[in-house]
Amino acid sequence: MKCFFAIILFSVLTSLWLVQFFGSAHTYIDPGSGSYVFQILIAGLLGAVFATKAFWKNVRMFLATRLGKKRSNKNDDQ
Amino acid sequence: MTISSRIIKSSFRDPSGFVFLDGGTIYRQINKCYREHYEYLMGSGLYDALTEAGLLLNHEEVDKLAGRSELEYKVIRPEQIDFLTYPYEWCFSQLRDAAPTTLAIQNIAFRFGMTLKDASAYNVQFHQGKPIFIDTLSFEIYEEGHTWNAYRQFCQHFLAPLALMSCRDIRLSQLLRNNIDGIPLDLASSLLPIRSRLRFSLLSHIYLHSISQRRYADKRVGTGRRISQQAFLGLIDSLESAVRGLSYEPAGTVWSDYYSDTNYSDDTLRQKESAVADFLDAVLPRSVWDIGSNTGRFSRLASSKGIQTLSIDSDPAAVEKNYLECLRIGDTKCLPLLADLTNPSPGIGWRNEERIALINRGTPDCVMALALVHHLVISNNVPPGLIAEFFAGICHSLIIEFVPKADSQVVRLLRSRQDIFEDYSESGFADAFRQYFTISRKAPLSGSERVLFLMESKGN
Repeated sequence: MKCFFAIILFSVLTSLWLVQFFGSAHTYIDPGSGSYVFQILIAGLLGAVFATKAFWKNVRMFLATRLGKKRSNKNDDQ
Repeated sequence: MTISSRIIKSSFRDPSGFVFLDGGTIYRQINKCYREHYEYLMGSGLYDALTEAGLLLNHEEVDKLAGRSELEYKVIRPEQIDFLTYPYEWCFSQLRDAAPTTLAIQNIAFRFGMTLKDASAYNVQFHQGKPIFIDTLSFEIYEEGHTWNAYRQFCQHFLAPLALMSCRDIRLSQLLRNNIDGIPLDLASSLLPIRSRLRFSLLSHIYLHSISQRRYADKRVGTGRRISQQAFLGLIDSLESAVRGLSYEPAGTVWSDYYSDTNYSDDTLRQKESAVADFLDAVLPRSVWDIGSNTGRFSRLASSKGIQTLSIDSDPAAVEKNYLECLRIGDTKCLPLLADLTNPSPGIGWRNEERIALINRGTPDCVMALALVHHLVISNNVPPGLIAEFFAGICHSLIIEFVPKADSQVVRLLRSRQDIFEDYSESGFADAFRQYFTISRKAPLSGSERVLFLMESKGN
């Protein structure tokens, strides 16, 4: 997992230096430009982490519900 | 009075509207250009969801003209805030509670198809003991694929100061006083310890973010790139985790351990509490400023009587303890505040008017200055006459404690400096205050040579 993050971070860092964004807007000094670019670069990674967290949360909830049901069935049988 | 003189000076940045004062009540004009977003906020159910959750200030629409009819769409009267405070006057946990409030609002807004267009810490105020969002015009309709425009501002207003306070020095919150739009990320990066880069959240949102800002500061940047909704939510979730991961343990400062490190006996403390409570009952103030409140022990005497109490101290650890105690006991009348009376928050921003000086934000009915005067006189060389003049200018009633030279706390203050305070005595103190106040009651504290005074201003 740590290796995965390291690779992603290396990619983001490299991207920061290599990627150029060209488009319609032109700003002389825009303190938000770098934040915008960085957000574009980092958001994909953070979205993937968010989706993974949500997936595991659902799995845990599913297992907890199933195990809870089994236990309550056992108790009922006794 | 012209309309421009009634406009609150801090509300010039956003073309969506402005805040103005009329008859002592705050109103907000909504301009025509914001109509679509305001109608969506109110019609989508977002406003109801946020106000019911206690996250956004309630408002009502009123028939009132602000005088700018060419721009005006509507005027609203928000629920009034008792006392405005600013992020550089908050302790660590106050700022850390304000941050997730902003993110929670963003998450809820997203579910209703809106987003926050800014994430200024000044948009959050402490109201009835809780952080609440006050800027009704900060919401805009979310456009599919758009990035979060407030990302930079959130990092500068919340994450950077919290990281500096948590990882470097609690006093660095004062950088917010010099940087009205939050702490620049390159400055935060240079001040944070190297070990903080081991945290993914700080590495990304502060260090790499600041590198990107530097790299693209003067570059052509297109705005056509899009991020998915999941990526947007991931960004907010990551900022939430970053804030949650920061902590501060208030201990070890001079004042936070004051009551466990003083020569007060329990009896003297109880006697002092009883005298202060009696004085408060005699005055019946609606509002109190407890200046030099330490961890708020005496502030709670006022707040427990339902009095709106501003509990001011210059020690960040003491204010932190005070705030945590207010949360623990559910004290909604006491508002802890970080400020130093010898250098109170000035007016800052454009024309020194965007953020109001602390002493111009209101006047209390009563000031409590307990165990404070000797610090002002001995440590800061402020003559008693100037202290009396200052207090007479901000309040009608004054509960003040005189601490004589024989007291161990004063002995400690004089230990390392020359005693140039020949006139510092109870009679000299009383004479200085009699120029501005009438001394109505006096309560010597047995077991010490300290004396409590209740005074009424001659000017009011």
